[in-house]
Amino acid sequence: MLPHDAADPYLQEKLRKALAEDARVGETNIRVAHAGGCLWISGFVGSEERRVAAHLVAREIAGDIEIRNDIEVLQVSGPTTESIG
Amino acid sequence: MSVRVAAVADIHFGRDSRGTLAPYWGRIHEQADLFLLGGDLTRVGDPAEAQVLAEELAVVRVPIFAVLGNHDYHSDQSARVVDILRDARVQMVEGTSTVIKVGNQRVGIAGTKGFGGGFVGACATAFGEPETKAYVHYTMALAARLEESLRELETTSDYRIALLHYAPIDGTIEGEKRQIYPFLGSYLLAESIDRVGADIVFHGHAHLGREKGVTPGGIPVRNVAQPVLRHAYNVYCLDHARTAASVHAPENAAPEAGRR
Repeated sequence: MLPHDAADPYLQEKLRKALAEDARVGETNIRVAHAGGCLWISGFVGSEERRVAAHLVAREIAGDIEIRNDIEVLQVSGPTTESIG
Repeated sequence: MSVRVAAVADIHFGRDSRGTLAPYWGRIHEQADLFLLGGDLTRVGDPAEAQVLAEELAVVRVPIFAVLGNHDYHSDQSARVVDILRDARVQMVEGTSTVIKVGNQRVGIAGTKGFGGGFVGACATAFGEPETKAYVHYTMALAARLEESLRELETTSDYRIALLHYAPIDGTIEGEKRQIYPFLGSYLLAESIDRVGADIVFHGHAHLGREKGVTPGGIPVRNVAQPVLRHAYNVYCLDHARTAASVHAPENAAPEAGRR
């Protein structure tokens, strides 16, 4: 099986591995799905730079395969408070 | 008297994180007595990332305690990361315990990164190849050390907190794929905590998990991974006079009168 082949049964995991191990990304919590000839990446990252970096790495792994990037930049707000008895 | 604990984990600081959390962290002293960081403090454990975090923490005006997470080890420079955080007044509690005074209350914090192995009914055992045994033995050693650390606090603390990175129960990682549960935590951590007791357990690591859970022994567990909280941190008020947990304030809660 050649790399960048939409029929590659290992493509999804190759990308998930790259998103964790490639120094430009280093994200272990990006979800990757491979269906209908499309690679779909989703989840939350800490900045727009990281969202773009994930897309770049996905492009390198996927070649001509369509990539759907639904990664969002995590937005946080002020705290909530909980009482614990 | 209650003790107010601010906590967050999995902030994954990078060189691009400067200024993102300081506006919130600068107000922690209005709402909490101490601040806990539950690991994965950096993106890939690069000392430059830790330095950005150290500068961000400069606005915090309460004592800070932390353990590292798996991300903080990735660049094989965890010792340097720890040095940078210590220089930023962060007290690392990996494999140890410490006690601070909050008003007239003694608050003990015992910490460990923890590790994986899985949960009851589907956990790894120290059987077979040396690599498998090493994996399980590592978790066992960390859990045993956590138990010792909590035991050290039995007579020296009014409140006891366990600070972890990996999850001690599967209840707070629900939402993650079940196939990766063994990489998200270990029941051995909960077993150790239940044997000795604690008022609350904090952890992170499971970004798709949920915030609230409880050990089999009835100890509250909170997954404070930032992607779970969606807050810069949350505040947990420990009060032995109370008997039930309840959320009593929405976002940006004002400090309660008489708590300091």
